[in-house]
Amino acid sequence: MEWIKDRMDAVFGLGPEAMVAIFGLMVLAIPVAILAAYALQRRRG
Amino acid sequence: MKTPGSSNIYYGWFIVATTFFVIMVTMGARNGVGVFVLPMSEEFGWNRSIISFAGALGILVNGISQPFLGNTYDKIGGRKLILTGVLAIGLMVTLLSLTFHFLYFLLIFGVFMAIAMSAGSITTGAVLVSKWFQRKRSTAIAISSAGASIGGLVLVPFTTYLIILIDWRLTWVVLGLMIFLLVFPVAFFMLRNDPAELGLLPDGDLAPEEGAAKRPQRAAGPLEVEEWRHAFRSLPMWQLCATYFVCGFTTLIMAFHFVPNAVESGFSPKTAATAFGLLSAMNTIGVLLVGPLADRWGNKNLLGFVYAFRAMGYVSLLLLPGQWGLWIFAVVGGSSWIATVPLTTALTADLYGLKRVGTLSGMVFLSHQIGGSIGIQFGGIMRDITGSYDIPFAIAGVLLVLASITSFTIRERRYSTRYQPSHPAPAPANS
Repeated sequence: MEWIKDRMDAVFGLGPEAMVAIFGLMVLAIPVAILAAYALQRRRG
Repeated sequence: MKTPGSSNIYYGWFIVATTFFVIMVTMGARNGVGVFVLPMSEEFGWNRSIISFAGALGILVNGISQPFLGNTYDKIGGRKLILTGVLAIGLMVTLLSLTFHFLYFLLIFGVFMAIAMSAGSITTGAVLVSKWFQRKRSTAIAISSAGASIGGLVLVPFTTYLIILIDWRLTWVVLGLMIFLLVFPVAFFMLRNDPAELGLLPDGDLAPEEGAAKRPQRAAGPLEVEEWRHAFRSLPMWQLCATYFVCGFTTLIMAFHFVPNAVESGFSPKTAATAFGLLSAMNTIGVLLVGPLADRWGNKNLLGFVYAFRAMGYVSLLLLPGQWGLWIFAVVGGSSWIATVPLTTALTADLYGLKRVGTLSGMVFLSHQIGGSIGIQFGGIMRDITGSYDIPFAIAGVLLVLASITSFTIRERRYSTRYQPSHPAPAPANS
């Protein structure tokens, strides 16, 4: 899977810290979106 | 207090989103083990075959434990089992940070984590989703199963960069914390066993009359079983096991031997790895495409088409000159990779009902893993004997043609719940 890192480096040219933050936020966004959508639905009734 | 059923979006889609996330992180963490191979090998002096052995053992243990945990699913419900599985996966991932000996790694990764994956990942997730949908079952399972390929695309680079930043031990801890702090809470809060638990009907249908929502009525198919053993008295169960065996054989042989074959055929390791990366990325597109198509045209027809499509990939790889075969296989083979999961799970639920679908899906998955184990070993042995992969790949192509024919001959219209005339005309959903 080293190829993924090579492609990412070539496309974005960002350091490991930035890439970890980006991918970490992508993962975090999913449960936040699920819970937010559910909470919004309940509030709207 | 309003129940989740009064919301505009049918609650089943929240189940789909939650199982997608569970599958994405758990499968991503497990499949990310490839990234750990190099630093762990360097620290402990392991060779690749030792780590491959742990992987192969994990495949078998995962397959063998699935029917038992499927049976547990049928007894205690999906919510409890998946939550327990998620906690166990999180614990195993964290414990991998303490690896000090190969036997420890073998036990944690190859045995305990494989069992935990049978409880809290793709198969049980698909079964849970199948309880929430009937007409849109294949679409819903397809979206949920896409978490497996998205998990690889997101978690593997995340893990790669994390190992560069911190060491591999802390990276395992971070992945474990991710499961404990993100996956478990959302699964705990959102997962429910079936729509009846919330007074809903499958697919978000409205109850035909007052009070009916408490007891959802569902058309029964002629093959619906009370005991899982009874399913093996009918032909479709054997057809599903046989075709999924071929699926395991033809995917796992490639997972292990695609890159070595490409390198031995004269391609650079980088080209081979890029082609394999394309193959992995195509998983997502393929699985998302087949779901809605299957709900429109039937599962068995799509399943037959997917196996035929994959057979064409093998034919391309064997017969086309230069790089054409490699890239066509990556696109064709890749797009058919996970596409069989929603089709097979939905077909199992449609044919045999929901009472024993956990156990039955586990049995079908066991045949997949047995096929995969044989495929991996067979590919390696034939390569050593003949000096190339031509014979095992040709056999894989032939098996796929047979699997395609077998799938087309499943009598879905006669046996499937969704085609039963007694199925009540559903009222439109409130969304």
